[in-house]
Amino acid sequence: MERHDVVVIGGGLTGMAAARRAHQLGLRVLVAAATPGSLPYTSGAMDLLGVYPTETRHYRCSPWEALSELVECDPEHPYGKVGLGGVRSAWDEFAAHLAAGPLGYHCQPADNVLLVTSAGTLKPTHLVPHSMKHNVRAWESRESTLVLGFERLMDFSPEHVVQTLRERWPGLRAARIDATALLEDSRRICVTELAAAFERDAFRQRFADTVRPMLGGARFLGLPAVLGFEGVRPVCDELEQLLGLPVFEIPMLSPSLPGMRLTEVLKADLLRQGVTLLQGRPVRLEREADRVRAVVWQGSASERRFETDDVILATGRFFGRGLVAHQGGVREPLLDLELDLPPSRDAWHMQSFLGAPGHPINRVGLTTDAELRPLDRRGAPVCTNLRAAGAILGGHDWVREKSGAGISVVTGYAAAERVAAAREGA
Amino acid sequence: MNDTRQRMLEALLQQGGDGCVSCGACVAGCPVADWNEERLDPRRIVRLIQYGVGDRVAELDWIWHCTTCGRCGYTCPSGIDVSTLVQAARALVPHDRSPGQIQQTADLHCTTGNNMQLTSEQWLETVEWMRDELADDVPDLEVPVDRCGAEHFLTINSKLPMYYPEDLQDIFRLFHAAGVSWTLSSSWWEGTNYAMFTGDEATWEHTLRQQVDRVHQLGCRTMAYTECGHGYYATLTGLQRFGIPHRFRVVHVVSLYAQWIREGRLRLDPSRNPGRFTLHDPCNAVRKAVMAGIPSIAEDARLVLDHVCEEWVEMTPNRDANYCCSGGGGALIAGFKRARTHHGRTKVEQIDRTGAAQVCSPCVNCLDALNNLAQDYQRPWKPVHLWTLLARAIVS
Repeated sequence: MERHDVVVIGGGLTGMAAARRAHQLGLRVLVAAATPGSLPYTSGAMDLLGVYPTETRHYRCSPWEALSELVECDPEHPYGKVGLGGVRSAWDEFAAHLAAGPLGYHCQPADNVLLVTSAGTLKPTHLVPHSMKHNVRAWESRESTLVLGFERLMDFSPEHVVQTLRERWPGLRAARIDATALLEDSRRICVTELAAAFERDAFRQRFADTVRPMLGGARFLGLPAVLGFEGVRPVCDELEQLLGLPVFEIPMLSPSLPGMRLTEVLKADLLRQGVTLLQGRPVRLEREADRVRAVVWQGSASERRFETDDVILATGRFFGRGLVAHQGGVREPLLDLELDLPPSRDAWHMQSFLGAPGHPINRVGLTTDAELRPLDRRGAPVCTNLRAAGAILGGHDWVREKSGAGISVVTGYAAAERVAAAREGA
Repeated sequence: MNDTRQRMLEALLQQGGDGCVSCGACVAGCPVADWNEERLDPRRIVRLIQYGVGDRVAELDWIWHCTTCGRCGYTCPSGIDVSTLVQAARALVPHDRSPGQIQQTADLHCTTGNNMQLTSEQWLETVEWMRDELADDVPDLEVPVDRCGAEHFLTINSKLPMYYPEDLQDIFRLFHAAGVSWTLSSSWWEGTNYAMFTGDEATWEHTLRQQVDRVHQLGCRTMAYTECGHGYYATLTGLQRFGIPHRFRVVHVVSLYAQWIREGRLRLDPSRNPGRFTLHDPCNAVRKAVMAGIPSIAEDARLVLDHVCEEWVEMTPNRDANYCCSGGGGALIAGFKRARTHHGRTKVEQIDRTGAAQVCSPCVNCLDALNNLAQDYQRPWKPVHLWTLLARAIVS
């Protein structure tokens, strides 16, 4: 039997942020995650609040201005529960950490930025990794830019990016190269093989030699996000030297290297600090009256039981399996916690699939008190030592708000701080 | 639906396999995805079963290329572990029709007590020979055999007496220096269990029960499992699976080394292992251990490396996310050599990126697979056991 101050359930962005903060506050932390969560599937860009109010689809240049309106108007939103000061301190600390780390996140603290995606859309976001810094700048400048793809890489079409943006960006051009000719042996062309190739000196040289004559006076070079694993930053810098122009990555669909890199880097940080991380098997919770007494790791051969003072539930929504949907309803599978579901199934969705206000079901999640403790039907905390954080919380629509990373980090920090404060009070 | 199809479908549903969204996360870390004209990957195994033709999975060579490293299950957002589907499919193949020497090895283990058919006399002669050679260097050396009441019952991979007897000297030197109570056994000392890989549960259980009986006869409180990933995994999960009562705990030797260092039992000089090292995490003793709910050796191996060599660097990814050596799951002795070499390219690149001259691999099976890769890819780096580094670093 092993004992911890706090067990975080969920190893996505929320879980890792909560664990980071809990460790900073001197708590003995364990992270137990059934799956890697949705972080490896993300663009790697970190959203805080890009659109508010969602009904008007209003893109906000300043996330802070939008946030102060949100906190004022919507106290039940996770940001409302944490408050502006809490949002700011958590986000600033996490942003500084990512900036100092190997991925060199870049931030214009006051402003949101627009990021060019592989769909040719412009994604409002707040923090971008070093490898996407010039993605933002290229769009801002609209200067002559070459978007380069790879033959047989099914996940990325440079022509598609250019076609979507050309009207607003006349200097944007598409081209492709045949990467098989640059690889030593015949390989499949996929994001991970290319990432491994870009981390090799010889491949970068050959790549630069092939691409140089194609630049034709371009001021920026855009590539799919395949420029290496965690070593992406030096790869980018070296390509810029070899080619003599700024190079940037364009985020793609899954498997998404920028999301995978961020996952690995955050995990490595926690491991370095001595936090235990378990991933790959489900857990169950042992309750005793109004407390969670232990978290049980359900190994395929044997169970491991972890006694703990506090638990932070960071299991995400449907993709992370924090919520499970079936025909008749939606359930929180670990404790069957109360969800603020619309009264009838008909009320889950609107008539318009992509309508601006968003579907009511998208706002469904746990209702909590200011301590972030999930509440039962009568409005009382289900367990005194159970807190929830991240996407599983109700009252937000992170996809439309462009607030996913922010809600994860901010509520993860807030949950850890509330655990620490409650221990001190006790 | 025929029986095989039904059983594969049940195995998939047990894994929550209806949740596969074909995202490809499993493919990104799979050492054996996309090999030759079959172009198979874990997703396609799931699809075949979903489409109701799961019996075809059992006919594919691919299930023997698969090293059952479990990285697919670790990384899957829906929690589907394709390596367990592969295990289920292998169990449906008559054992005598499994490729290469996996079953043959398991059968020898069952009938002779070790994979190499060594008699007790041959085994003990080798032990004596190595002890005598070492005795010049370590005058008060003792190598206990069949010592009743010893604390640790040490298992040994039978490849050592057969092919690498000098490694025994490293192990003897190390256990001697630690000053612990330990013993070798004249019978049922084998530190592997290949029957797990063909799904031959009867042999797996039989050999395990014999070994458990032997530990009980000698009255040891721990079974110190030698540097082998799958043997450790097969023993700890097998004890659970077959409900075998036992009065000892199973500890991986790497965890013992770490304990000895923490207790100050070993005086070590890291400068005896100069140059840059890196660490290969054996799947069975790290990722698969965590997922089975048994102790992982990841942190203990790192603590030991911190004390025995001048410099070591991590591979990326590492620990639970590490890539297989290409020889796991019985692949090392399943034939398909050309495919195995191809599958190892990810591992080779991972090692290359560290710039290390030696790759520490606390698993005999991984070490052999890595040796093969170094040869086939003409790489200068050399795999090395943890016991070798420790034995070299010991200050007497």
